Amino acid sequence: MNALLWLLQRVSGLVLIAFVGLHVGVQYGFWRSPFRRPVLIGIDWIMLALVLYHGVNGLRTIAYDYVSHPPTQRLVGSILWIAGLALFVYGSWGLSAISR
Amino acid sequence: MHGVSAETRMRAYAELWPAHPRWGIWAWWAQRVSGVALIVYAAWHIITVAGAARHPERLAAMLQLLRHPVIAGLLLAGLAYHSANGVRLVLFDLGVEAMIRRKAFWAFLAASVLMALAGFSRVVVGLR
Repeated sequence: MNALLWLLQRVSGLVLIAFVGLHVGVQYGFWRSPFRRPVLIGIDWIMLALVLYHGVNGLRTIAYDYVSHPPTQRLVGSILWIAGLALFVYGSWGLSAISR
Repeated sequence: MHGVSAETRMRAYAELWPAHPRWGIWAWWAQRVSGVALIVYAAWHIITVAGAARHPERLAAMLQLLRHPVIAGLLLAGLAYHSANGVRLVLFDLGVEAMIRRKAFWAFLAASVLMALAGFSRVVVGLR
């Protein structure tokens, strides 16, 4: 399980470099988007999921370094995953509102 | 870290400046600090953009803040460093040769900083 989370941390990080690079580049006017709006919103949605996964799993890894008590570790992990899921639902709702 | 041991991870940092293995601890801290800062920013960004229909002034304030030279510089530098070091760690875990991954790190960092400077010059300084 932990090995899978770790692998996904690598994969999500590499995909995020491409997506965040595109997003930041477009927002800062460095380049124009090569994609049309529906595709960009789809990319934003995937990016939302990956950012939250990468961030929550990263914070969880850090927390596990400072909390050695397993039940507390699980509690901290659960709080982080729930917060990430809540942000994913809220962000998805926001994106669907923009795309309409 | 779950896929590699803490000792292996520290070796990946110690090799960054072979003449000064202890400097690696700063690169390790920088990866943590930039990661925490980026996810805090991302949460704020997501909440602000998703709530923009009800609170357009909050989105306007965020976009205004992103034009501040220090904020924009910190955000772009954080992204550049966290990505470049992330690529280096992936190459390390894949067992890519040390010389190549060290070069890849500096090349990626240089490219990211150049792109960040280009974005910075357009948005903050207003150059076209």
